[in-house]
Amino acid sequence: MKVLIVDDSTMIRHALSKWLSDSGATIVAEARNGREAVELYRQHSPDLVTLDITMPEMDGLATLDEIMKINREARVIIISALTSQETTLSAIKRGARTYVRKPFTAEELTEAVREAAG
Amino acid sequence: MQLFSALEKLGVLPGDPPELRLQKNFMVYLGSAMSCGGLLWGTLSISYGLFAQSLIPYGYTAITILNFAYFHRTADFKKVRFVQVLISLLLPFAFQFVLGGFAKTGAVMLWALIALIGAFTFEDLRNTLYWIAAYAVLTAAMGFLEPWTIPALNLPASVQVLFFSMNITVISVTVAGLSYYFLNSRSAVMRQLWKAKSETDAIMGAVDQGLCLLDRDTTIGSEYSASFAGFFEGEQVAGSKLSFLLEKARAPASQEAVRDFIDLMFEDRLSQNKIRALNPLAETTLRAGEDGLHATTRFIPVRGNDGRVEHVLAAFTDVTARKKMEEELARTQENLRMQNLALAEILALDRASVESFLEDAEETLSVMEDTLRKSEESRDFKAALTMMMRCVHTIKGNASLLNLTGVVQRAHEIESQMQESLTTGVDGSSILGHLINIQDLKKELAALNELLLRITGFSHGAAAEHGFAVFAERIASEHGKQVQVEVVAPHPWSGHLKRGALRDILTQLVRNSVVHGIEPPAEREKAAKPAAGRVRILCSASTDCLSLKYEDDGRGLDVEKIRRRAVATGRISEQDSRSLSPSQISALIFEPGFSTAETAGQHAGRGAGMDVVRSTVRELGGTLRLASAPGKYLQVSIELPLPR
Repeated sequence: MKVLIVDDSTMIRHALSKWLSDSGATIVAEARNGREAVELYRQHSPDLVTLDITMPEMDGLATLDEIMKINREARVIIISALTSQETTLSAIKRGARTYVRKPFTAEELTEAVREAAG
Repeated sequence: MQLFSALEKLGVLPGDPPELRLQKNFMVYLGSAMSCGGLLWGTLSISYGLFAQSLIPYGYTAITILNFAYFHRTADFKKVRFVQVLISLLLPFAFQFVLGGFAKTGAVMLWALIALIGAFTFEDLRNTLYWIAAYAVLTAAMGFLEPWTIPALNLPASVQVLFFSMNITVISVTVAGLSYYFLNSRSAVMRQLWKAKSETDAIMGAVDQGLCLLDRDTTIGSEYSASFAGFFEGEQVAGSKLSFLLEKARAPASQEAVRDFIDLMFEDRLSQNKIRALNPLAETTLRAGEDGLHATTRFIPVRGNDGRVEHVLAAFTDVTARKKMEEELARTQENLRMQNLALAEILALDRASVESFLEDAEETLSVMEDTLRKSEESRDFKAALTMMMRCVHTIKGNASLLNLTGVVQRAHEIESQMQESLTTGVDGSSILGHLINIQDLKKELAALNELLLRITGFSHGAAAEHGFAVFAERIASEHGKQVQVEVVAPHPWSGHLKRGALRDILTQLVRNSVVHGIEPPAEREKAAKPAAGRVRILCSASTDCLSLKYEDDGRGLDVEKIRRRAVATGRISEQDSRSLSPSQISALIFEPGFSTAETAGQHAGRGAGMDVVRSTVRELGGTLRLASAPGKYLQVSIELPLPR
């Protein structure tokens, strides 16, 4: 499974990258902001995207919209924070498959990947 | 009987509401009754040799059986009832036409009336109107078509009358029977519904959770608990949108978020746990402010027979009381923390002031309690309360001077409550309430006292100067004196010393100066001194030593008075006293328990003051020198080694 990681925090990108590759996924690219994310999505057409909902440049929702425009069946997992509840709701409405809330565990992430794939 | 119960089950689904169940039963009974008529007429036709014509009544029965079989398989009520009404309406007319018209058949078309009754009971209102229209048109048309009917049945008039009688009897009884059955069952259903409703109402009225059912667009259903309405006081609840009501009640969640959330519950895409974690109303406020509410909410999907979410049950719980308690607790903790901070600062400045405040406050409180007890006898609660209010006010004023926010706040609350009592009327029980408040205040003061014992510290500069000035002025005013304190401390007063040591020393010196050294204003004026006595504190520090110069411009030490006092209290003999130098006699003031005052006042005269100074200095390994000019000044020089 090809995965694109989108997060402005290096730490979170590392964690996601490690956990996801441990569970057998291939990390095809990592993006630090929405603009890069859309660009890399076009390039790699990944099977799964993990998308940080609060990012500089292009915010998570706008990025999600762009990705959904490219592929209406895109599988996106929202990486949300406790404070971004409403934004997360909105993202789910706009087509994100599921979400995980920071701080999350490897198990929660795996569960979310399963949900998004199903 | 078995047949009956089999018919009752035909086409009925387990989840059917009672009304629908009744309609289905009714259609089946109607079809069955008319099928019997079909068999009767079919047999009659054959007995008269009319084989072709018999196909119509027999056909009716056959189609009905097929239709019911289909109904049994598919439970497609809509289709089945249409077919049933259609054949029940058309075939009697057709049969009458092929047999020879109204008169010859005994108006066999009347059987169609049963179809109409059926339509009334189990068809849609609109369709029923069409069926009535069709019945009317067909009946009228039969009148016009009478001359063209096929005269198949030619029987004597007496038999025709018999037919009439038979048709009318059977149809009347069927119609009446079916009507009776339907109305009776219907009222049973209504009773059942009514009972269910009143039970629901009772539950909805009693349950203290706010319950309601929501549609996908958050529209509130007609059944909701009384408590639910309470969350949205004065609003039309049924039929309104929850998202809208919430916005009107100024809930922090946006309308959009609420709508998205409810919508998500219907979509069934995410696990229930994940949806629940996104609940924007998990904890919310409504109508923030005085009469505001805090609520927690839960939303539970309600599924239909097909497993799809049909409604969402919203459950609101009022947690205002709990929330207020939590807030109160947090505020108290915050207050306490702030108070500790403020207190640490204040204590560093002038523990003495706080001490004297506490003493005063305690005295005031005991006076108040006295007043209260007396008011029990005199029954003059109003006077007692007025007096108590004044006392609380004094405590508040003093506390606020010292910036003791906790005490000020509590005293203020108590004062306001007393004020309110005074305006609304005072009786024994309201006094009791105030007594509890005062106990509360006492506790607050006790806590302060404990803190005071726990926290000692020393600060420097202007703050310390201010502290001592306040303290000195306070004592002075109690003794009818005036005093100005001047502190010169270019360097931070060292915390290297034992905590509080310097302050203890200075406190005693200031107390001693104000009570003993400084003269009342009149006396000072006579001696050509300014009315206000002056106390100067000069503090300087080198790397290894802290030196303190203390001076007042009071009457100085009265060596003779000290000598006499020492002899009078048996400290030294008259003879020994004669051999002591003036400075040796002066040093007697540092002896424990020595005081020249005849009686102990609140602030000095207990003789517990100056010995504290000497013992503290000794403890710190320092030296102490005393200098005095009678009528002019008293100087105390203290040198304290600073630990490296």
